[in-house]
Amino acid sequence: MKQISLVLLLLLLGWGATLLVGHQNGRYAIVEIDGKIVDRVDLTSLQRQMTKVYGADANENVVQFTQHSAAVMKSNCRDQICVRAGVLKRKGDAAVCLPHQFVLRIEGDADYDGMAQ
Amino acid sequence: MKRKFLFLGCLVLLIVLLIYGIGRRYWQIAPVERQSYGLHTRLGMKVWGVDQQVLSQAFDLIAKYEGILDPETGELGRVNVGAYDHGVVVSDTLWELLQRSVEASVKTSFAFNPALGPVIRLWDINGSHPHVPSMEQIDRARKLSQLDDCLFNHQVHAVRFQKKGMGLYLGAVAKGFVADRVKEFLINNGAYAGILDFGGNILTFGNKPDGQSWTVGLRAPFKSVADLAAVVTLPNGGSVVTSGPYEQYFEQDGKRYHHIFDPQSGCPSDQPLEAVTVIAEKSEIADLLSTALFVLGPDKGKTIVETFEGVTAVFYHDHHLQVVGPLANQIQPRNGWTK
Repeated sequence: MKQISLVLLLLLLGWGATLLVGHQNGRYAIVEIDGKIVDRVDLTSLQRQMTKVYGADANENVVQFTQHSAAVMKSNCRDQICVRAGVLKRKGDAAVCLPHQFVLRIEGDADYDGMAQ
Repeated sequence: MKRKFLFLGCLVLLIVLLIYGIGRRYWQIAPVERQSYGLHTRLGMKVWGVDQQVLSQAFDLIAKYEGILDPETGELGRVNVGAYDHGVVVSDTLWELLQRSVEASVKTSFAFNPALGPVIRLWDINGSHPHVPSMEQIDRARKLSQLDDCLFNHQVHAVRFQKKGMGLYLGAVAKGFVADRVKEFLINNGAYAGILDFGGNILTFGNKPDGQSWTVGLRAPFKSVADLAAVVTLPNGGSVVTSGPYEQYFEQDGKRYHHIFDPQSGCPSDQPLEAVTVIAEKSEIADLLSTALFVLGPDKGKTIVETFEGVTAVFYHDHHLQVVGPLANQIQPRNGWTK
């Protein structure tokens, strides 16, 4: 009985700890074409998954965003390396499509609170 | 006995963690956020110390002010239609803002001009078919945009135009004015910190709950969204507003025509500047000054900035930031920009 309560307690403690340290920071998916940032999606505040098409005609990359991830779902490039990069979740993860000069990458919280423009 | 202490210790720790974890979520340790549209732009708020209901009241307040300040559909629109040769009595809100605008116009050598309606309407930059008007049209609109021809009756708070076709337009100050009012409203309803983003006009207030100073990124002109020219730290909060020709423009015969007009020429300002940012305690001042300083340029602009207390201005040109004012040391250039 005592052991069970101790295990239970430890479990609860672990859960409490995740509440404390596991506080999710904002996460952004950055889309770059030709070295320029063309889109910045705030994943954390995304309500439902979203699909967007970047580029046109011969240079299309289809990206799916969810609250926790971003992934290149489709591309009409010849090597398909960007699609094979799979689901990007962690800060620093990236999918690069060289033929289209296209980059999808995950970034953590911006280091500023707002942007004046 | 030992085990009992361990057990008790764990229990206490658990309770503390639980309270902290839940508190973060349900008490006002976490901010409330909301995005919406209004004032012809995207509006965002992130506020500590209030609930969603207060935020929705804040958006109602914005709609109320829009009903006053819109130059077509608002109270200001009724003035613009009816004030020729006829005094139109206006609300206290509009009257006070008009008076402060006139004062600011004089202080900026009329580079900010609230009577610029005819010029703005003529160019119709945001219309469906913007085009360059003829010289005669520009000249006529310019002559109808003289603030001197707008008479203010201080006894009854009435506005009267001396020329037919005149029009007041507060687009260069409205977002700032409303942001200041919203901040006031939020503080009166218990907010102790917050950041407002009114279409790229930033207003911060209170001490940021994480104990750090507020920081605001300054967007590099003509670049894509997340490219920064600098980051500014605001030890005492305040508002950061940028005016640049890259926001709204059309092209004709290979030339760009943007939305920041020089009242003297009746045309888009031909300054070689790429943008101007103004940092001030009040968003209203930051808003109108950023427009005025863009029109004036850095040389004339600097002497004007110095007549406004506590105001910092940043002039962007060719990857260089010229900074005047008390926050000069709080601006860190990035991405190849220099100061």
